[in-house]
Amino acid sequence: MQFTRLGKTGLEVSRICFGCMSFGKLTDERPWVLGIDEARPMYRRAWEAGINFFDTANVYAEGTSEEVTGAIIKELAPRSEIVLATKVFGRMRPGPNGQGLSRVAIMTEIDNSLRRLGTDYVDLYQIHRWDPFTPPEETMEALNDVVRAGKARYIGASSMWAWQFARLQHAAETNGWTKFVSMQDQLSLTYREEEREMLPLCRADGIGVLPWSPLGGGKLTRPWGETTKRSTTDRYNKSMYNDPSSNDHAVVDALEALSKARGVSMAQLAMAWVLQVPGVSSPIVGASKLGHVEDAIASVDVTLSADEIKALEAPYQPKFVTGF
Amino acid sequence: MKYTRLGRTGLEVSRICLGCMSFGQPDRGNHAWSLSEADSLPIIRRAFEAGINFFDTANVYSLGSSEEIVGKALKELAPRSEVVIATKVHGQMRPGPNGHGLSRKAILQEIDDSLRRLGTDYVDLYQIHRWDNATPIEETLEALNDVVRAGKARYIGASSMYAWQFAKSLAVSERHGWAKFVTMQDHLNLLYREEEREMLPLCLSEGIAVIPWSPLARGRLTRPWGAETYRSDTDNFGKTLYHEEQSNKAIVDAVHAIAAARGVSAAQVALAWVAQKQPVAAPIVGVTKLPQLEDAIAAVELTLTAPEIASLEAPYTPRALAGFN
Repeated sequence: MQFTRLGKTGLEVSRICFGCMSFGKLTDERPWVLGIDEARPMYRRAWEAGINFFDTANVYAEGTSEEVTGAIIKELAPRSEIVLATKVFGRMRPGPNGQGLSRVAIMTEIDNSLRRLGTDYVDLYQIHRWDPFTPPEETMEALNDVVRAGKARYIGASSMWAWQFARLQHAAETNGWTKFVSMQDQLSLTYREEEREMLPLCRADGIGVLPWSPLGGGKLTRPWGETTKRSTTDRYNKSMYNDPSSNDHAVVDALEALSKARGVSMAQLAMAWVLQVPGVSSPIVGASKLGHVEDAIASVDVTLSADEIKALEAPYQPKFVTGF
Repeated sequence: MKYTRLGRTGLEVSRICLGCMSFGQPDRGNHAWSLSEADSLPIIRRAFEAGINFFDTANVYSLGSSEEIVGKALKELAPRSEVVIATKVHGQMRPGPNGHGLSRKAILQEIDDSLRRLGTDYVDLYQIHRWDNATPIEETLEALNDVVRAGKARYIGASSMYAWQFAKSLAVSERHGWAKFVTMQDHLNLLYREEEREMLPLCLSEGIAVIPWSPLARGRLTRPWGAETYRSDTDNFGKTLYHEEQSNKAIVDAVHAIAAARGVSAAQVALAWVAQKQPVAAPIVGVTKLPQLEDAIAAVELTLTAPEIASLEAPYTPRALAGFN
């Protein structure tokens, strides 16, 4: 495994981040979620291959992703050897203050996440989206207090507009509070809108980029037209990648052609493309089969030539922004 | 004419800004289609008489000739206090080092040169004409603050750049207590709406007035799709824009359909759409003929309905970034 510093921090993370959204307790919303016994071999394989970076969120499978993740990593390694990331923002209970980035929500949710994870601190505490109803200063001050209390080592953000991210960083810098060190946003060969504003901002400020859906929700792992259980049942997935006006078909075809020419899987090549984008620290890889983990591990050692990158990028056409 | 405050400032401007890139000796700078002083004066006069008090030029327009023509014309028309003059700095004014850009040296030189050409002691709005990758933004913003404190500019503004760069600029000024940008002059029209992603929401959030350039897509929204003009044939910058044929044609057709139903010109419909977009203060309208000016003046009075706006916007597909990168 290769390791990198997360952005301009001193934190060392594997170049693959193990995404834990697939694990927890099955619900109607996520029928593809896997329970702890099915999850364990995948966490173990990831850890044994050198992946030290695990990403979950309070909302994933209603907190049960954190429970599964916390229980398994405890079996795998001493806490200090693991880099554990979680998130706050989504709705955890009905009613007022049950979601969002108010001071009251953040202070409640960090303690709930630590309890479910069975740890005293997370390494990276991320805001899961922008909260239009809470002033940036309130959110950033609360996150600073979480860091000063020792409950999080670093803070990060995820999909939002670049101007909103810049606004939050400005609030922190002006007040001497902890600033975000990472951006978890959507980036893949079939979704490259972040190249316009967010990636240049992150490169300018030394923010580590942790792309989600690096394989386009699975579309980049198989020839055009094949389906899976998740692609046909996950409503969020369907809403994001089914734009009929897109040129995704041509992108997938280019990837399939390169896969045949090199004898390397489409998934590995698509991941290798994300890995080489300047500013990217570690793509978030979700897995529901051991083979997914193997592909991700192998992709770190796949190098694309300039001509190959050009061929994979050429068919892309600008899209409407999705995912937040 | 209708007037509005420019963003969160107290400055009152007409809801149309006369774009003065059309004015300048044709043999100076790079616009062969620009109007001579004699041909420009009647247009500037009519604009002022119709209530337009907001005039936008730049040091680079016809290499200073636009500023000379505008300065002279406005001096004949009105007391200085009754007009709002905007100009810009960034473009290449002479070959060699320090001949362009947003260094402290360039800015302090160029403001004085612009004031001399305009024949005035101050401009109302001094804008950076693009982002300068080679100069730290702190240096640029401190120099602009000094221009304001010296009384040479009333306000400062910016133009086409990435939203994250603009957000950073506002943050830097605020941290240092320097004059902040009050305007964003960017590219917005029915054929190019990429600013709706990041820049317009940022401006709305921060109280920045948007003064869009090319509100008629260099005339493409005023005539049937594909028709050519002397300018469209000779405008090298314009040729880099608006290549999405299918979507463009559908949008232009929608503009003409509403214009026909309303009994107004296509230009009025297209301009009214820009003027209604939040937080636009005043579209910048460049004209080379008096009837074009009359269209712009009339557009201020045209209010589009929600269904009309929906039909104008429906055919749009996302575009690659154009106009500054």
